[in-house]
Amino acid sequence: MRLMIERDPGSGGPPSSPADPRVLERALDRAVALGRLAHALASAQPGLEAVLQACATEIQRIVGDSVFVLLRVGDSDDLRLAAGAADAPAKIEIVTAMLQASPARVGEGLSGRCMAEGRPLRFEDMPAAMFERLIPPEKRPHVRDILPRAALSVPLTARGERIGALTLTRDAPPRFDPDEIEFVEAMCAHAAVAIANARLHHDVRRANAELHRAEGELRRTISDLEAFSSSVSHDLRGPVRAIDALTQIVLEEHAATLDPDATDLLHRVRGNARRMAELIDDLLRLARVGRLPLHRRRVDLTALATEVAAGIAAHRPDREVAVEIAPALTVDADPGLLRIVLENLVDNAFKFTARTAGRAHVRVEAAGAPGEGFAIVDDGAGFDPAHRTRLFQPFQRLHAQSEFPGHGIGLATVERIVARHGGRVDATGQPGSGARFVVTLPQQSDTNGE
Amino acid sequence: MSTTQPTGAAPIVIVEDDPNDELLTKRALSRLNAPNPVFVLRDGQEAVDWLIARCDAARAEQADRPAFVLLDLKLPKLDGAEVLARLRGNPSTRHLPVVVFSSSDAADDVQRCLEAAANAYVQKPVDYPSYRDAVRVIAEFWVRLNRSN
Repeated sequence: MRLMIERDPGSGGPPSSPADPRVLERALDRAVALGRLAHALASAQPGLEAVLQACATEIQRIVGDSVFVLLRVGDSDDLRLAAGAADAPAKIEIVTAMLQASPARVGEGLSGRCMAEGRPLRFEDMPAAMFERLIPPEKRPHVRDILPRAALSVPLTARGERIGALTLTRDAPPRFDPDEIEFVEAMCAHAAVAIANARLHHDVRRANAELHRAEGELRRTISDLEAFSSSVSHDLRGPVRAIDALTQIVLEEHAATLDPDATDLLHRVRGNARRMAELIDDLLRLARVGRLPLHRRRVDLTALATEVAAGIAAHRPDREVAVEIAPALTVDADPGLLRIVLENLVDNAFKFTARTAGRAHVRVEAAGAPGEGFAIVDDGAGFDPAHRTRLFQPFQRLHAQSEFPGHGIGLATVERIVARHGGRVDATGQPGSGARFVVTLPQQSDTNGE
Repeated sequence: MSTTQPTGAAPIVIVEDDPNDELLTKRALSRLNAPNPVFVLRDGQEAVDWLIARCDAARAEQADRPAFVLLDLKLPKLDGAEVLARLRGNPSTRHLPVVVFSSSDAADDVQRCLEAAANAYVQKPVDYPSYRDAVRVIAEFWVRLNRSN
């Protein structure tokens, strides 16, 4: 029995001359065989198992030896039998039994050692007894003639990583000649590339499936949350409305018996109920913008902003605000949702210029790439840039309620809508010197957006 | 069920399971100083059974036929639209005036009720003065002006 490491000077076979027609013929045969292998691997079904099996089957067909592919399991040192091919099923059973008796690991066994050393190893003139003891006594007579007498393992290396080993076993003749080994190595190089690609493909698909699953889960969670907040808001509305109504009834129908203090307190109760009702309506709107289907198209922003600003100005007749809207602005957006964005931003601009001395100014102008964004600029109260990120969070407010009333939902709604368009909203400003909100809505070929 | 002794005036029927809205509607009606008794039914099944029995009795001239029904949509057992469908399916209540009075303004709720032949669909106003006004206008129309019932 000999255990040999390839490329040691003593293992060379008889020198053969390139002019020898038998040598040429054999070289030609092998070139054809390599071509066949490459073709078989290229046309194998996608998927790691199919490619592994194609490697084993094709190499078995070409060389006639039994072929076993062992692959490293994940990042561990364990090797698993990933594919096998032989001209008799019993030959595969013998090797399977052997691997069961002593599982292969990197550095152990022929395959494991060839992997660890990174070069072909062979094991020749193996005694039959080595395998016989692995086989139930009653079966031994049937397998005596097909027990492996020689084995050759070649490491499978892809992208510099040793991913496994390909092992040939044969019952006769009991040795491999160096020429054969070189040929098997060439085939293994092909196989390793195909296996690595299939693995990569497999990994990408698995990562994709995982991503898909996580995305579905996230969508469900968001949708549950929205349904929850929507139903909570609906249920809160009723009692709040009742508080408002009942307080009003007391104020109207018991006015004669209420002293001024009680009247004042009841008015405060009503004020709170109303504020809460508005807050609930805002929350419902915020939940709704996440659920509404998105239908993007080219929108005339100039016209829409003009309409929205006129509506807000009509609502605040006490305010004198010069509104200036740049001509010919367009964006790709859902018109209904874009209107909500503009209503919130323009209304904010009106609100936060309430204390601006003299005539306030609000401007809607182009920003960013043409057709992909706009800015709304005011000369109002501005904000401390240190708190910029809090602007877009629900219920976060940077001003006292007495100074500028609000619920802190408007900009969160804007942010939500813009994010659904794959865009972003940013704000710059300084206390006392106005604010500038920039909305970027990148154009998308996918107009569905869902 | 609130009961009132028959007065000879057509009763007004409120189908409503929210006690706040029941109170607000009753108070709004009471300001009208109308002689009509007010009945409140608090679930859909009760409403269907009571209204059919009442209208059967009215046909036999043993009771006053209701002037109109103020029907909420969110009800236990049978929802408002189902109540309406059953009333329309019975000869005694087929022409009974039913005004749907709901906090929903969802288009499909409105559509469903109109298809089931509601006489009107009114959204409950959020603030009380408007709520009171809505109840007053509905009652004045169906009790004082309408002669089709």
